[in-house]
Amino acid sequence: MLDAALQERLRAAVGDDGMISEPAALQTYACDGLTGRRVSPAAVVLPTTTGQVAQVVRACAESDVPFVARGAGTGLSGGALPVADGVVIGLSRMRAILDVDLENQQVTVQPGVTNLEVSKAVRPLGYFYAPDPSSQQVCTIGGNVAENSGGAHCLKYGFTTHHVLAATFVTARGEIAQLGGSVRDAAGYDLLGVVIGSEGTLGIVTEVVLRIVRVPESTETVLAAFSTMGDAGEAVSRIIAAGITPAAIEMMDRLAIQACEEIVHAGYPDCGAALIVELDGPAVESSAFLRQVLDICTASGSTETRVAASESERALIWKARKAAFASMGRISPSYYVQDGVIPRTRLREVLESIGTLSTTYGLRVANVFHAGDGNLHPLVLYDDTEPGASDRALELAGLILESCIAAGGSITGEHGVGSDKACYMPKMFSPGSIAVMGRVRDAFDASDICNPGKALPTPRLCGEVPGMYRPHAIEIAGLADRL
Amino acid sequence: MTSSTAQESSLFTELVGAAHVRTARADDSVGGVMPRLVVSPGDQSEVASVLSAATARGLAVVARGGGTKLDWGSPPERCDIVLSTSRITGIVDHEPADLVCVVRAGTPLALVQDTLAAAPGFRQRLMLDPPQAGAATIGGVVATAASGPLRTRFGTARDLVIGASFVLADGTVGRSGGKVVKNVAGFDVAKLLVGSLGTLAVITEVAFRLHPLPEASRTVVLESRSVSDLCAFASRVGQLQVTPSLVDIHWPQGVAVVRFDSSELGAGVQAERVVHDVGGRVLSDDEATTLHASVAGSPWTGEGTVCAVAMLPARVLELLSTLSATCDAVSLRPLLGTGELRFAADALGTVVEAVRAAGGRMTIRRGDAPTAGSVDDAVALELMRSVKLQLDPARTLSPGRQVGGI
Repeated sequence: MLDAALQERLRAAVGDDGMISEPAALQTYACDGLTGRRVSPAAVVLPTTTGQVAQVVRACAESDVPFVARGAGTGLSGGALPVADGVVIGLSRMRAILDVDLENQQVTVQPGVTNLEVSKAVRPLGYFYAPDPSSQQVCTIGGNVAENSGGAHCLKYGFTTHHVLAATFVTARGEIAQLGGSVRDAAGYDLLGVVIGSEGTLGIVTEVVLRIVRVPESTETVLAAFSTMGDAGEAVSRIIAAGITPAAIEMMDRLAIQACEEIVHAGYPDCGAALIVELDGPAVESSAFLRQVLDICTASGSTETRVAASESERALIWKARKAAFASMGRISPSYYVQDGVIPRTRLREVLESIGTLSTTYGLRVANVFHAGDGNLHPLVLYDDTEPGASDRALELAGLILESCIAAGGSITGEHGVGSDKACYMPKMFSPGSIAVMGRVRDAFDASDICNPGKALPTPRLCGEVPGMYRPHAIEIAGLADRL
Repeated sequence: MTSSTAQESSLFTELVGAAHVRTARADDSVGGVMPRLVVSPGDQSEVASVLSAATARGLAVVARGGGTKLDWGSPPERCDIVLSTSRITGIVDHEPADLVCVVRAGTPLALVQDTLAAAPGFRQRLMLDPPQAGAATIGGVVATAASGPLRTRFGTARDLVIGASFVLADGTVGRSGGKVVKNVAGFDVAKLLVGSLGTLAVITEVAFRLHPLPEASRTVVLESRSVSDLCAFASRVGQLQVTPSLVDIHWPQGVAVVRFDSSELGAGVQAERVVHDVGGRVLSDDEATTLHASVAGSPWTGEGTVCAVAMLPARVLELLSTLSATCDAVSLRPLLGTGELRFAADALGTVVEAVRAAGGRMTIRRGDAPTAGSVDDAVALELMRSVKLQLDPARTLSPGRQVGGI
């Protein structure tokens, strides 16, 4: 429960219709896409302006009450998991596209605008917004900034961080700052660069200037079937080695294909592995690359290749791919999705070790991934009514991450660390590295009230890991010693 | 050598060996400030011990790579030690099939490019082409965020760095990112280091995303004495469905240059598209080589003040019109609204006024009063100070070089 004075301050800031404090209504905000973790917040506020966000944050800061910003709640790592007795700042009512500036190829939006709305607004003008997470119909730009979202086409076009020029930013103390700029090369440190992908732990963006990109002249999409994941992986390596940069290269294994076919009926061949390769650019060039890719697929043992002959065929291929997570419900009561990254060249061995783990644990693992950049999404399938199954699934998922780290990769490529993987951070980063990140966090939010407990490990969540201590600035300056 | 210098010298000798500590000479000065010693640690752990020793004694340290951009940023308020990265060299890892390499900070950029281009079975490149690149090192290019024409398509170091190792002033060794391109684990601390002018940490190792060297290149040029023709041409190229690697305007050469790096077919067809839809002409390979050589290094070659400018792309024409007579040389990336100007020192006031009128910003890179620019937003500046205070509270590293005297 919030104290009455704070409650009144929040209500005054956002109005009655922007304040949610009924326990039943608060339940809606208890989790994000990682539904296994739920915490009911003390209140949810739905501001409509930057000024209101700042007032809310200031009120929280002055009462030392933690707050969590939330977009559409589609995140898969518990990054928007509320803090008990804290406030959730929902940005869903800030959903205006404020400016479309074609001359400078920029669009200014509020954080609650969905990813797809940006592209829809500029598509008729011949432009698009490049990052395209699979949840793009619902996920918001604010959340994309927090997570540095990617998507299938980031292989060629880059991530959110490559497409954000500027942001209006409410600090953890409720002050308003302009980070970056519509004019490039803002002086000083690239604060925006570290805010993007900080999972809402450094402050809240309330206006974002995005770079938009000219729609390519032509797009070619191939669906290639292989009998094994190894063969498909070989084709990926050869495509990259040929110096081709496809817009996207996606892979799905048999289980994932079967699940997607259950709900999308896209007509994927029943095969051990399907590869989707998309090429875009000038028409003559993408069709030349297309021929090259088809040859490479055949040479790598592809049993069948299909080229999308129309926009609707292409859309169908993608619809199945983007439905992969959602379709798991058809083949399993529950699933847990992992987001590890590996160097592309280690694909075969990591897939083998996932296969071995699956057998050992007696749990099926469906594989869907962004093969071009080595971002794996193994889906660990389990039955949550079976005692101990969910713990076994989590354990197996954890071992998959360890094999990604051992291969020189990362624990997360796009879903974020959130509350889900915070305790894996020490497996990837040294205590010194985590201490530096902690010091950056302190620079923005010394009181630790801005989405606390996410992104970085804390002793409370992860136990006392040696080296977790962060030297205080005074100690570093040599002004005091810790005894 | 004074007695305190002798003491410092023996202290650092103990840490890195006598051969790697020397008394500073006149050409070691940083922005007019004379250091006492030049210390060259051999690896990351020696960097850590040098920095923690310096911090403990309240000494100021300026990290130096090739020294090609040591005058970028405001002059340091103190400089006792120059920490040279000249021994921290080498390519640690290059996995061509992953299009990734990891390089130690003191490695010259040119050496990296040569090695990448020669990898057996692959021809690759780090898409960074900073000005004054002669002896430029990886660490320096990252710390200054220096970029060149390729920025139009590939961005700056900010966009190509996928991980970094670094040492804070207190000796803390840290890393962010990794050696995979797609990675959101942990804060992207490397973004803070890009363009930090050495004020937050000493960079020891950087991981980069690479690109394949193109099979073919085609250059289109429009020659004109009309700045508005040049700007209109560039702007229309920006609206075509083509992906040029560079689009530059050079003045007083009076050229707008567009280059496509792609497959033989792709480069050719895109160049033809520009000529057909917008104008200009496609150069032969020889002509292209001559043209690129003639504008390479512009506007840095020649005497005078050099400053970096940025404005909205739509305001490029306005700036160029105002300054074409004032400046001795102008090179702009019109699609980004960035570039560099060279002018006689006494024209500074005119340039400042023109940039302001075009809604732009400028940073003097070479001349009488180099600065790190200025931040208008007081809250943002306060956050920057706060970052500095957390990472380097004793202000050991390049004090005063960054905006606002940070």
